[in-house]
Amino acid sequence: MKHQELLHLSLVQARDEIEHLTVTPSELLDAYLERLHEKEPAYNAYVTVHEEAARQAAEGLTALQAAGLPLGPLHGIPIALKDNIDLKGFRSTASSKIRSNHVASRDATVAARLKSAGAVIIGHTNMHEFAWGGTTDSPHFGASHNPWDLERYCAGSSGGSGAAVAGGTALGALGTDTGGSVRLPAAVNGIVGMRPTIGRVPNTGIIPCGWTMDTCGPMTRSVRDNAVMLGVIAGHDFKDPGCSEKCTCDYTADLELGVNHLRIGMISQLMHRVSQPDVDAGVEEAANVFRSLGAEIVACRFDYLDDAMTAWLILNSAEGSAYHQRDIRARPEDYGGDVRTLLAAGEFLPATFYLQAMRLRQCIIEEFRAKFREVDAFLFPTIPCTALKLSELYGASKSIRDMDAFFTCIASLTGLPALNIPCGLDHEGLPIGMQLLGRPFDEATLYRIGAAFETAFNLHEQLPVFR
Amino acid sequence: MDRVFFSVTEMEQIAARIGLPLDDATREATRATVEGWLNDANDLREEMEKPEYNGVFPASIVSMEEGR
Repeated sequence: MKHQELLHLSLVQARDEIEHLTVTPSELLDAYLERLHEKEPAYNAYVTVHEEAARQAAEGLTALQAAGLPLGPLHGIPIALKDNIDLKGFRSTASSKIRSNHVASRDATVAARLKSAGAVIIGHTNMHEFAWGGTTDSPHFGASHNPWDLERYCAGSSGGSGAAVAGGTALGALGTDTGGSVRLPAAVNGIVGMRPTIGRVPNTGIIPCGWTMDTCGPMTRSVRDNAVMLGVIAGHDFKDPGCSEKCTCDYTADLELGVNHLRIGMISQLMHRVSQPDVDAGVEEAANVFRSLGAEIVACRFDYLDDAMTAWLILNSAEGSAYHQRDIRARPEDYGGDVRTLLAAGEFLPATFYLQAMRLRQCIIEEFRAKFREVDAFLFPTIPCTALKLSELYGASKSIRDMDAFFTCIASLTGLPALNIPCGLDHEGLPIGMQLLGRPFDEATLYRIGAAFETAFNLHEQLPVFR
Repeated sequence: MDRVFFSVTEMEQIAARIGLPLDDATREATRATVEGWLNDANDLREEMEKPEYNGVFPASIVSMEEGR
């Protein structure tokens, strides 16, 4: 197969080709490394590329296959890790100067699981410093650029992972999500991103951002690819006390069941409030698609969402500042100006405000638990805007950027799973993201709904990797 | 109940007491951020003081499993 053909294979297709010996892990990796060398100067999606180690891993996997050993679900697949996920023997800096010399002595549990499943770790991706921000405009490693339009941002904090997947310099990637950091870059890069239920995926070996909201999730071109990756990284880890002991499932099992008779809630007060008109229109059109596929769209109203963004901000600020309390005093000059400001500001929030935020959080959790008796999932935008111009991030668009977590903070506060699916293009040809929010540990239903949507409306072949 | 507010002087005094460095480059940005956050946080506190929230306990470390 030619390199271009290899790049067009989905994760599942590529793994099948490897199993059927029509391509080797080394050939697949070569295609991705060639693309990476060509595009990375423009994308700046990576902090570190592990080229030599990846080549050795791919050769090892080829040898394992030749020896007749069973293949894992990610056998030979080039996967990127966000730069806050430890990989034994490699640097993971969280795109910071503070951790610029940190070389991991062991794998994060998710990295170990990917390797056990046969993934080839191609590198660590750029991110917003310590995941405390949504632009991936790093003072230490530069801004990542959106493959759809290089003058635009990738959102964040997992912006490098989003750019790598959309641009075809990785076949899948891991991000982490505290307030939307998987879903926001997935939305503006036109890919699929899952924030799993809190506790579904272990955080062992991942640098914290906000302890009570941190999750790790997959970013891929398609729903099926995403479901395969979640199946690999999900499950109990005794080293993470916040990790659930609930059994995992085959997240691909329900992908072809469709949405007939499923009830999808639209939260009316979230629409036409902070989003660009194209975004609201894209999500409403998606609702029409679901109707045409047999789903029932149910209008819902919530009593406790108006202050959700404030509650999330208080929690994330306090938790982030607590984690960095020592370093912000010892090495303040080593933080970028924006993160340093946020970490300092978080120290001025009284504990009573933190607890009031946690009380509102409890109200929101209980309200969602009750509403899930009426619907199977909720649908609303992921981010109020499409990809902003990098040159405008700190200017006229600041007000909309300040609201970038308006929709994503809901899953972060409640701990519920949420999936970003591309649902259209705006008037400038940039991807619009919609978000599906599900019951606790019911990622499978979100994938089912997302897969049904993909069959009716698929942006897949418009991704930059296909250009 | 009065809204919590820090003047620039008070903020600098608190920072000095808790060993938090505020330099010229970030002092103004930090002040503006704190002012904005406290404004929203005061609004939230006033909301949570309403009788309808009586009996609401803070969420514990969030787990979606019943009984944990």
